[in-house]
Amino acid sequence: MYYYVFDPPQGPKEYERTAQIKEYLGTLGIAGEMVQTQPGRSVEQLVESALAKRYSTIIAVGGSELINRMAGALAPHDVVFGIIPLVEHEDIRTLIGTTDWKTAADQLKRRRWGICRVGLFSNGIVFLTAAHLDLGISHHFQISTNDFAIQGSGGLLTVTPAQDGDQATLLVELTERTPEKKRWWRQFGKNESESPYTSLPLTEFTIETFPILPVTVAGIEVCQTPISLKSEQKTLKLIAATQS
Amino acid sequence: MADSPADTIIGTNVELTGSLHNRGPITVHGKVNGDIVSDSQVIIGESALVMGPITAKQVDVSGQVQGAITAEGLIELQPKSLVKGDLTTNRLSIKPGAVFIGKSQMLATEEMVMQESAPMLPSEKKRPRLEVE
Repeated sequence: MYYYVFDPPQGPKEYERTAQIKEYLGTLGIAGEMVQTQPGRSVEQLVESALAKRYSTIIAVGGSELINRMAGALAPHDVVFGIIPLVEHEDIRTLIGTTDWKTAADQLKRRRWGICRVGLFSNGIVFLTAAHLDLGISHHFQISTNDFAIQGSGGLLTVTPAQDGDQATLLVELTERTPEKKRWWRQFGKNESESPYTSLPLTEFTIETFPILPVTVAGIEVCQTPISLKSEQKTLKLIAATQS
Repeated sequence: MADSPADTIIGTNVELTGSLHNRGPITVHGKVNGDIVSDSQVIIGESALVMGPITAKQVDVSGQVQGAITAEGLIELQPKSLVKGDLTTNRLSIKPGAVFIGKSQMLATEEMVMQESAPMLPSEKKRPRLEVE
């Protein structure tokens, strides 16, 4: 039996979509207990309730905040986690292979899961999808670990929970700007060179930037620099497309 | 969800200070002030400057290194590379155009020590290899 946690619908269109999803899950034969977050019923309380009722498959139906909060609440437990995304975001597509709710629901029926990792910010926020830091050309950063410090400026810094051998890590990548931003800079005669990017598998580190910048997860600001991050050793069984 | 050690890449626009250790391969295009240790291969790109020792299974240098390099496998100095430091390996290749200032010490592998203790035909004997083109 599946346990579904829905983001509360906002407006008539979302009410209609929620009804469609519930109906479709019924036709797939995987309709289970369906609840939604509301004041006084937090994501964490709903997850606790599902675990107390011994549900073995718990599904987030909603946006990136719900997905990441549920991942954080579920990571210490031996249950299967599924996602029906209600937002279009590339990081969610990378994670489960789709951002289409119908395709995601079909994947839930097949219940093919893989092991994935989560990361943790020092403010307690857990992230399953990648964390991003957009650095302007004059924005400087420093990443510090117990062994070294690395400094640079400009680019897009991405932190993705990953697996390195049998170890949990955070893959830190500094890439060139997005094509849109490159075009924007070219308008002002600034042509950034195509240089090899930076990639580091780390378990724990601190990012500082000058000036202070926001850190986003699936398009939502979750904290600001300076911030420390670490990889969680606990794994999560996530239902995803077989090719993702 | 990969299960092999991830690559470490230090890009051109960054500078690392401290000890860089990784089980997987390390590629440096930027600046490193400190030691580099890998259980796999280390590649020093053309734009790289490393100020410190390197220890790895195999080391390929196209940029600048100021420090000792130790490898149980091949150390390869590519054209335009500049190495100021001692090399310790059992296979060394220095391409034309490479600049090397230091001493090189050729190691005997465990396999060679075993072979030396056992009787062997002269043609079968393996020796540390130095290739200078």
